[in-house]
Amino acid sequence: MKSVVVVGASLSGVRAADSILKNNDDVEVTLIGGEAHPPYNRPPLSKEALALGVGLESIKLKVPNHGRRLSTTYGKPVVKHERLTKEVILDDGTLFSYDCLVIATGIRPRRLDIPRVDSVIYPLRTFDDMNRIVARLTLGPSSSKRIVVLGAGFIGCEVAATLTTLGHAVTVVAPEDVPMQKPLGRELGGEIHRRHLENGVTFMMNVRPIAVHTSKDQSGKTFVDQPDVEVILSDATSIYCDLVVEAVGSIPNTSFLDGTLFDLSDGILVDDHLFAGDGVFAVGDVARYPNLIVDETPRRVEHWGLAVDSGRYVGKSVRSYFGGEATEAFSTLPAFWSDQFDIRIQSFGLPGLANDEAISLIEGDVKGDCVFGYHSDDCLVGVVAVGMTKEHGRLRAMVEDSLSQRRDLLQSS
Amino acid sequence: MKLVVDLNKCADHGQCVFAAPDVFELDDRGELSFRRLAKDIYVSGELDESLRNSIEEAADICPSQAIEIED
Repeated sequence: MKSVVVVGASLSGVRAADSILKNNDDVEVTLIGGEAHPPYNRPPLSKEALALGVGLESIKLKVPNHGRRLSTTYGKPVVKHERLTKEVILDDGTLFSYDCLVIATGIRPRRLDIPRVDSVIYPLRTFDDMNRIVARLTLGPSSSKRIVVLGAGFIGCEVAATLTTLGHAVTVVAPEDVPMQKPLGRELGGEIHRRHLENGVTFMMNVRPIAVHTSKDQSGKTFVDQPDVEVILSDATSIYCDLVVEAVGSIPNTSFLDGTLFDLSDGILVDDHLFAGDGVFAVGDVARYPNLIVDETPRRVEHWGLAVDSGRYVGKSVRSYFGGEATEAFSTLPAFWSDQFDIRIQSFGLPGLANDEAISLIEGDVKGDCVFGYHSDDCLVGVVAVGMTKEHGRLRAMVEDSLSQRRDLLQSS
Repeated sequence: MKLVVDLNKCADHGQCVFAAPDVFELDDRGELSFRRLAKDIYVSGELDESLRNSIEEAADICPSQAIEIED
């Protein structure tokens, strides 16, 4: 019996454990999660779960039943990896040996390196993070809180929409011109900006936060429960609020691999079979891999759908590592979605490959339902649809076709 | 094997349609067609075993995690 350890028990780790067991008969899997909770689905944390303050039960990820071939351990993160002796060590010293290791440790929120009072600044990545925000929102006499959201990416915008809908007064602070400027481009980002404004969100764009203080700092008084928070901006203005939500990007969780000589320059580098070397594979947000449906360039892509797909794939790759049937390289169409107010955003392909001048409206009306096309090397490499649910199948096929043509072009040049 | 869809969790993302086009469908309004057959929970009749892989994929890729297989 071969032993496979999966480090990271979120979406990609759960899918990986399942696919390893389905594709390998003589294998047992240990799934190790650093969080105290059993696996759960993260997207609702910035949307309906945050709005409703739901319990874990309603967002739990089902861990497929593999009987005694699957064992799980939650609440103890892996802190060290011994590449030569093929072992991982948990923070309480527990040691697991493996024949094969799958890294699915994901990402953690980036924190701003500015003068700050951590107790009033809330990141949002985990169920516990969400609960801390929900608890803070319900604290004190006023049911409507003043909230500053740092960052206008997808998480920041989703949180802003959810909390505004709940009746809170939300101000988004970000250095770009428009929200989601990098992933969506200036024109579509500008339109989503307009719709957020229409729904009552306030934006402070083209500024950075330079400090977050509380009134406790300045007066020496203790407002432990409800400090008045001051966010000082780079244009020398200040915003006063009850709490700050920090959504300024993420950092891959690879510190337990330090010293192992893997390429950790951005996540962990793996090949087109998601293989890093010495029996080690990586999946999901933490992995930097080529996706051959696009091209041979390794990229780290933080999409929920790719966490699923890479996890579902890796079982076959592990099978060939153990001497079984070879498998084709990883190749799957990236897709992401976001829900903000009644705006449904759905992407297919990799729109992030396009520069701003290679982005254009290709269908519909920008004020209503529409599709933007994202081009690279004069080929369509991605689309983002606003609404247009019925057209998703056609749009998806269109991007697949175009990526295939682009691959032919790249190969012939 | 039966298919169970929690229609309160389902947000009509339609990813299931790509994974299992023989099973899932969005209607003219862009809503999961099972909404016409049930209010809260849709439970299918007995399904052929040959559909298992594609339904498992649909369950895995469902953003709302609204799909389950009941054996």
